[in-house]
Amino acid sequence: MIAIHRTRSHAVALGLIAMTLVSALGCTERLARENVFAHTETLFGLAVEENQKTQLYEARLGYARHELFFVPTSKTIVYKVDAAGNFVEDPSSIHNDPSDTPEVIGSIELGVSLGSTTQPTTFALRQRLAVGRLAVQSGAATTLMADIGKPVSTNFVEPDQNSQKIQKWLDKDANSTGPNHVALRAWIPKNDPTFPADKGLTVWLDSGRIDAYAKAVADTTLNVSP
Amino acid sequence: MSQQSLPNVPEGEVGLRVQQFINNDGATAVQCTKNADGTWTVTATLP
Repeated sequence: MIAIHRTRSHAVALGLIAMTLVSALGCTERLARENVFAHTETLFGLAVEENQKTQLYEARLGYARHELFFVPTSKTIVYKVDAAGNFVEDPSSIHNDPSDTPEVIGSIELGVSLGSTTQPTTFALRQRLAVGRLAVQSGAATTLMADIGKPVSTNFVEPDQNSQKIQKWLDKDANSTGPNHVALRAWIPKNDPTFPADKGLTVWLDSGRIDAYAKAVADTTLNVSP
Repeated sequence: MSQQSLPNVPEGEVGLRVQQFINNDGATAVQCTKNADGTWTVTATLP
């Protein structure tokens, strides 16, 4: 009984800390749009009490867990004044891109096994989180997110940082006719004569070439600006 | 128009590959087929 009161107090305290943190940092709506939040709560209970009628004891057990992930991103909401003199959000701002984040991989696991050692009854709580372009595509995240007991894909190649830089640079274009795509399509044939004219970039770059190009980009004239 | 395929795409990468076909190559159609081993084949129609 005492243990349950303590965990509840602990949970309430954590909730108050989280609310205070959010309030202290300002507008919650803006905060939520500029950052990555993940909050989970797990409650598990089992009670033991003396039954007044039967005079038998009943067990009571409690577990409470609150968790708050807060990951900042590069997005900052910018406002401008429209023709009517009102402050409105400016979606075209260069600060509107949330793609730059810290690379975070997290996992928490709590498990209990009961019964015999040969045929235990297992109860487990698992939580995993990956934030960031490199983190979500890493072999570590793939392994972490795989279902227990299922094989992990082995044909996954961890991306090179320069490869990521090229893809990110391409992603700045609104579509395939953007200036960065045009520059890359002009650059590839000059540096790789095996590139067929009708080949799409996705299949071509996926076949390991983006890593080769990434190494070349470091000391060539293709301006993959940050 | 031509069709190009990426075989053996892990389930968690299918969305990314579809996005790349559209953004990198201007694909006008993309088809995703699940393979027997649980991976996917992403086929795009390019202009």
